[in-house]
Amino acid sequence: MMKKVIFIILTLISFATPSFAEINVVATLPWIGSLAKEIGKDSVNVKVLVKPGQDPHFVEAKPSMTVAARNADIIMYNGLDLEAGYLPLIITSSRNHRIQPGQKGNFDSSRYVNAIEKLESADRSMGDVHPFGNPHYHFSPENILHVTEGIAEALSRIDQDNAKFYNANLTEFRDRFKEKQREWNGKALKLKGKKFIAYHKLFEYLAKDFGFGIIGYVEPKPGIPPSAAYIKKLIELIKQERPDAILTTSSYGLKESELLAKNTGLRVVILPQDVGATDTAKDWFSFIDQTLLLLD
Amino acid sequence: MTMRIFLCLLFLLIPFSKSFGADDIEQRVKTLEDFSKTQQKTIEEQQGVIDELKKSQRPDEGYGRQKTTAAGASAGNLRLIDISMDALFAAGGSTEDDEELERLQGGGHDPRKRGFTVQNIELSLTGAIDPYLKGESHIVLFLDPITGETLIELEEVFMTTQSLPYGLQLESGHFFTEFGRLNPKHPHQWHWQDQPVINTRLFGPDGMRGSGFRLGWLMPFSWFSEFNLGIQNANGETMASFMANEEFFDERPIGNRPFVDRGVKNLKDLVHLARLDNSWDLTDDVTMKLGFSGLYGPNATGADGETYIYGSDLVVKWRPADNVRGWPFLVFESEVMKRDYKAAAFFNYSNPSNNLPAETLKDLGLYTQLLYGFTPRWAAGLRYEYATGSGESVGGRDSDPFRDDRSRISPLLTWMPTEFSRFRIQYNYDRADHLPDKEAHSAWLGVEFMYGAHATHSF
Repeated sequence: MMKKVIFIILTLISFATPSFAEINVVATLPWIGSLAKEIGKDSVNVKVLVKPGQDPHFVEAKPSMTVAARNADIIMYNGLDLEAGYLPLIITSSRNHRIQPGQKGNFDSSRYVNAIEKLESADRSMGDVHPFGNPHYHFSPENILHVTEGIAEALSRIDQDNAKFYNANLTEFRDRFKEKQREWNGKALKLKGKKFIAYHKLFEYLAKDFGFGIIGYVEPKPGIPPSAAYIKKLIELIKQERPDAILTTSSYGLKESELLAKNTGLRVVILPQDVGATDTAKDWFSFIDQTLLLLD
Repeated sequence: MTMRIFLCLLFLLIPFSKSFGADDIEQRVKTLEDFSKTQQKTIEEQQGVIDELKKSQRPDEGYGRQKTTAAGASAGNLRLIDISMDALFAAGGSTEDDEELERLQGGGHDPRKRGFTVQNIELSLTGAIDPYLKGESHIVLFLDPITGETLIELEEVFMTTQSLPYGLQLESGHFFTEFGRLNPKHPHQWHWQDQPVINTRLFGPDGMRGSGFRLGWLMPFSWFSEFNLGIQNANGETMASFMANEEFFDERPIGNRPFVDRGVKNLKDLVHLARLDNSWDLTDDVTMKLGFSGLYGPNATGADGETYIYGSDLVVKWRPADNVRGWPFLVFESEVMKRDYKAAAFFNYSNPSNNLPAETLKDLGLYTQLLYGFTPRWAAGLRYEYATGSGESVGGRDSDPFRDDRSRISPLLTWMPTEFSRFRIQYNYDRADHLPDKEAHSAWLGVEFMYGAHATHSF
């Protein structure tokens, strides 16, 4: 009788214990969450803190974000001080030692990135500057490939039993990346030499990777809205240089960009800001696809 | 002759040399191929080592470290301390004179002088102490509005644990008491330029704070739920409703009682806090936070004197996900709190007619405010406050500026060029029993600027 009871208990325990526990990933931005899902697939449960259309510079640390971070095995973020206004508070208040700086569960994506526009010295008279480099590298395929490799490494470190699975998914991602890169390189040829005005310094990596130029900004300094005098100067520049369009996203100065377009006859190209910002940009690949399609 | 022999030998050697030369070249090619393969293998092995080294050079070591440069060289950036300075100034006037304003604007960092007030110059220092602890200090300077004397306050100095298990966090040092919504916040985090009347009455001019510790438990629920227990010293000028000190009690006596000093004999002689905080996202754009707080501790009226303070606070924020730099937004905040000040009986043996019986003095108050960020950089708000009480007071409760019946309405207009500077204009309409005309009008223009490390603000 006793043996039967023990057998039943052991059987129940074996059913109750999941053999394939999900890793809880908290990603600050949608594109990071999307890449984590590409590599982790069903073995990760991804929670994204910032909404696709939300300006990642201005996010308030909601208590629900603290709850998400409390349960995280790993927190993945953009870095380069993009989330400086809310992430430190979320990490500290989560009381989760796994995700504290220096731990395996604290993943700064920018460590895998060759950042551009680093500044030797900066102060706030220069606007919302990022001295460690321009943080909007999610538009750069080359850098994103390295970040994805980093994600596979990080997931393998915290979930060693599934390391082969993550590496296999990375290989799949690389194959898809190579295939897409050929397609994108074709589109890049059309973009080479084109000139644009941008609202914010969002598209520098895109311009670098695809060979087009950004000759001016609607913002006089990052994060500072334009004055009438500045817009007048910008209109002069546009008349001289005749750029192809004004680039922005739905949450960055759309109103100002449209007003400038009205005064100059330029078209406004509203690019998706992040994965999920439009119905078409479902994952990171389709996000780049749509971006290039709109630029064409 | 010699020449002929040499030529013969040469012709004889040529056929041999040809066959020997072919073998040699083949041999050499093979050797070279083998060598090349070995070299290729070595290169591949070394590339592997380089790749491994590259990987080991970019561990995800966490937030804010210096990145590897394009050239591959690494620059160190040891972030030891974040420093910031926040300055609050006000200019304005009132129908009341400076003497009355000291009482009407009873908060230590309120605008409280006709002309200019240096409200609060706050130096904040934060940083990681080690992998387990984080440190935070806030030192405040301001000018006494009447004497012009520079005053300094050790506002907060505390450390917070980073790695306790089970969702626990311990705060230890000298810090604001986690009661309600506004008391734990620094003046530069307030939406209005002055602190609510009920906060001034229950927690004194500089907010309730003291030395001690607080244990917070982030409970394992699907929503945000945090329970806090704290113990702090009951004495000092920042413990107005508890032991305070003789000087403070002389300045703002509660219930017409003399100050009675008492030491710490057991835990009952310290102030105890309990707070429960819950938050829910009602929609993606609307978040609500509801808190309940309770305080218990000894007061300065005698051995049997004790104080209970209870309160509840609510905040509801609307901010759409597609906001522009945080705009538009709507913030509703309200706090209600009650104090039961159990004053001990006072026996005046030299003059028994001055004896006072034990009595519970009750104070109650609330503030409720709505702030609407209607267009980028601009916000408009309205605050309503009410405070009342019961029981004995100096000269009667109607003439006690810190216990009378009072209401205040304060419209506010704010302009924020960036998140580092703010300009506010606020009008206060007061109705208070202690005022000669029972009402007062005041208008304040506030200027705030901050520089240095940008601290994250709690919800």
